[in-house]
Amino acid sequence: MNERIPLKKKILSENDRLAKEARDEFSHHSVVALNLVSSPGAGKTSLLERTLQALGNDIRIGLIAGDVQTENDATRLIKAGGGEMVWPVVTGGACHLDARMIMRVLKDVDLDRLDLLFIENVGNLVCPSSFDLGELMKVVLISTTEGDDKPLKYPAMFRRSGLMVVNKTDLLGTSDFSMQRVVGNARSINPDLEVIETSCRTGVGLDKWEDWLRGLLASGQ
Amino acid sequence: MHELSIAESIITAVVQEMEEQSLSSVSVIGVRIGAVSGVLPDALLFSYEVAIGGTALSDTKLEIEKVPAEGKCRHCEAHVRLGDCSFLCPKCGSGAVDLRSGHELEVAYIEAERSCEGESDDEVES
Ligand SMILES: Nc1nc2c(ncn2[C@@H]2O[C@H](COP(=O)(O)OP(=O)(O)OP(=O)(O)O)[C@@H](O)[C@H]2O)c(=O)[nH]1
Ligand SMILES: [Mg+2]
Ligand SMILES: [Zn+2]
Repeated sequence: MNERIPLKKKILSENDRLAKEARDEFSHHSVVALNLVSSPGAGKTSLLERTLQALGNDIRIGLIAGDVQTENDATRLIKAGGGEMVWPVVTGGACHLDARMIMRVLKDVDLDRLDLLFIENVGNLVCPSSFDLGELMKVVLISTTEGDDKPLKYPAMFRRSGLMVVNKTDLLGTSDFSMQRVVGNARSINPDLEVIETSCRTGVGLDKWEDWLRGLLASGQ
Repeated sequence: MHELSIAESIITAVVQEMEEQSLSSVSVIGVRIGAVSGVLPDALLFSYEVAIGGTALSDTKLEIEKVPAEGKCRHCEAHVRLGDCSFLCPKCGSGAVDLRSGHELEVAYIEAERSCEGESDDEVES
């Protein structure tokens, strides 16, 4: 006869366990790890290319580039100055990175040679929010070519992020996207969310992003 | 569709529990899914059916209990229950609700047989 056996087991426990291992590794080597999330095409790779160009000489940057099928983003990042500090992860269909994939990559990474590790997640605003990768913080990108109601439609992602980068500000005015509304919507979900406006095309606002990164590194070490 | 990997995590968790507690012939797995956990119950049920094929759990049924998102609003101080897919306080519209529940993603119970090889109940009691 079957009986009902009560359990209280967290379903992502395997992922949480591996994420904790990754987090311990990062803090042990004083590496600040950021998990970059957005809809497809919001500009994650572009922002990282710009960041490598601006900060690559002062800060030791590593990048893990997640993609569903290709290594295109990794190739772009290598060219932009990431060199051998770029590790592609092809998820083979999965629409998010998980901690197991990160732990697998970390075997090849000498964390002592890094200050800052970016993890570019797969372009998707839903699933990556459920998978902790051991990062210090999630950074969510949104571009002005998307709806300014995105934060209300995908609240989990905006709630779990510490910073929102609003990218493609050079295209403001070409649609009914309102900066005030997107910030209002995002802060209604997450009152503590920081916001930085950038254009990876013109470079406007990138200095704020770079300062923010420097501040984070200074406080994390 | 990250529900597929969540279904796989459920299977891993249950199989591990079966080994630890010497359980066999599992028939039902009960999970609790919070309203703001980011998991869609229907998609999870579908993924589960796909994922159990060829595993020790291929004849099991998944039961899902949905847990509403509830907490206290920092703004109007009301105890509120959030609507589906929203973090906004239904009383005052603020997003600053400190949730007590709603993030759950857990296996709550399984229905199975205890295979008590050599271990009788009286021994356990002593
Ligand atoms: N006008 C404008 N275009 C931009 C800006 N940033 C990125 N783009 C363009 O937007 C497109 C997508 O940029 P990516 O950097 O590949 O975006 P992504 O988020 O990495 O995309 P996935 O990895 O595929 O999700 C490219 O054609 C970029 O040139 C910007 O600030 N302004
Ligand atoms: Mg990219
Ligand atoms: Zn309220």
